[in-house]
Amino acid sequence: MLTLREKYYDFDQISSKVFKCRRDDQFFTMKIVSILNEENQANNGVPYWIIREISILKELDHINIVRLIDVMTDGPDLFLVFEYLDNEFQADFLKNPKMFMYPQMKKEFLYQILNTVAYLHARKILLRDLRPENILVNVRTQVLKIALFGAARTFEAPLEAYSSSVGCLSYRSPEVLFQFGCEKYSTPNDVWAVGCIFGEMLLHRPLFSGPSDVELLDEIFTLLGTPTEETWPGVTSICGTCALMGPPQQPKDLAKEFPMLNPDGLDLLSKMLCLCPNYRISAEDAVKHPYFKGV
Amino acid sequence: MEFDLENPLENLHSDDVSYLFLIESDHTPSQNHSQTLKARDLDISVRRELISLISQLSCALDPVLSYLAINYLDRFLTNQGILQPKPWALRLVAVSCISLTVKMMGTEYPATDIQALLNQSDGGIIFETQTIQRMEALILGALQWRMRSITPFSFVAFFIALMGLKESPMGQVLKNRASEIIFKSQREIRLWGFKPSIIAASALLCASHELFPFQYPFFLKAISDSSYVNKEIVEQCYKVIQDIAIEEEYSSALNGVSRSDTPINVLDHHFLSSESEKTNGITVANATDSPLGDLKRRKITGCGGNNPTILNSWIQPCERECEK
Repeated sequence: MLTLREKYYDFDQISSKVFKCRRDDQFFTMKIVSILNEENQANNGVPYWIIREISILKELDHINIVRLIDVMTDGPDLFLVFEYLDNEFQADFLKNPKMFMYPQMKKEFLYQILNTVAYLHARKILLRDLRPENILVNVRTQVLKIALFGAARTFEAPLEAYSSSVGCLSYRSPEVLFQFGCEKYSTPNDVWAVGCIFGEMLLHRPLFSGPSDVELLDEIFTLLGTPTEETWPGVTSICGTCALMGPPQQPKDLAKEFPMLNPDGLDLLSKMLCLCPNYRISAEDAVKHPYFKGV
Repeated sequence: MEFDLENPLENLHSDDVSYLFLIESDHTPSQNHSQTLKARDLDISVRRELISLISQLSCALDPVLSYLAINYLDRFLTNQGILQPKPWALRLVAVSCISLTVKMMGTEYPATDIQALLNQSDGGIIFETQTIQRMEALILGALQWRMRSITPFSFVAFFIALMGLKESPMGQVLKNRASEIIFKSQREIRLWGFKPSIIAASALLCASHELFPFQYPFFLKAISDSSYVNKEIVEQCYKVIQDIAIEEEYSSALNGVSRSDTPINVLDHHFLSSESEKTNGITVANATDSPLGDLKRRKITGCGGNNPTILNSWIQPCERECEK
């Protein structure tokens, strides 16, 4: 078996643990992950969460997912080799000004995101952390790429211990926000995140941006109304204390909040941002929504 | 992202089954390697030794766990072979396969229990963290980190649905018996060349022939009509599995007789075993002539206890405990 440096060469550092490299005429992105630390010592050997995540990445083959090509080990380090995305792919696609020049492009990219989420959900794989920073777009070719797991986010902490940060909260669903650190993710949470991204495409700013769970929930309920047992059966047992609900609020008229959106778009957006996770549209159904007719 | 042998890729839609059939060869020792391995008698005996080790070390755990560990072992042997069949190396491979399996299966077992198990004083070998990590990394690399193995269990539900028995008591009975057959036939080298889907189909047909002989022709037609399986190959695999089942019954009867552990019975067993293996196209060195003969005798112990006896005898008690 070829060693790392025999197989790949022409290393060019991109960031602290990410390199561009080459093999024959092809370029790759290589990410270094250390698998030795105090926590891992107790486990003996390669950490389980790394094995599980990589074994999933290895099975995924989708044009809109950054592909994991190879995995190599060298002592205490793991080298993940991903397909290389050239400069035409802009990270954090919502900051790309060209995004707002062509309305049709938004629909195309939204469709690709939902198609990818449906592909993953069909395999019971959850994204959990879908946000614009993990999405790269090539505006010229109109191809979008989602960087899953290690490709965009460090492997240094297991998913179960994923820590909260301000940026991540914006795309968390109400059922997750209600759980305060006891995060039980499931597929509707990913769809909610896509709904937030959809709204952000339209407004040119994050749909919800509160710095804490409580403030975020308040923003959500200000726009979509405070949930009731009628709109979200079981919500009172989920939220625990009434303090999280705040004073009752009526939902705003989405048509006035998103004047640029046609009725089909409003329908899709409202279904993705449905407060009740059980009533929220699935990714599989969303890709078939009339809004995408002609895509 | 829990891992489940029946749904290694967690497919939810029926049309995604085609994906399982498409890539199952990537998770299976290949036909070519099986032929190559047959030319390496030492590897066959090493495999048998390793399977015994894995069964011994993991018999206190879920039988599915030892199944997956042996799957990893087989895929590893396909890629790497064993260059130095020394006792410590064999044990390290077995321990590492079990460790990787526990990590993939989830955290049902407390880490301390696994740790104590893996560091059994039996054999007097305790592996350092770095040693296990290096072996794990070696195995992961050989398997290309594709640890969500596709096994026959991935296809059983599909074929039961084809047979028209989805969610029926009859289907459940067939599934249970087929699963038992799949578990027991895993150690047979003769099945190496067959894809998991073929093994699943054949095991179900064996189970249906055994339990529901009058419906068997109908089930055979339902599976044969599937575009996902090759009828001739299923027939070949079916015969091998049937032979294994017959030998299993004969071996059980023989073990009962040989409990007296007299020299005559031991010799009879060697003779019969050797003859049986030859007739199936595999020539394995007789135990008394094998360079590993002494090694085998020293390493054979009962589950958790010191109980020297011939190989097949001690496997039975262990298996029974595993199945509880």
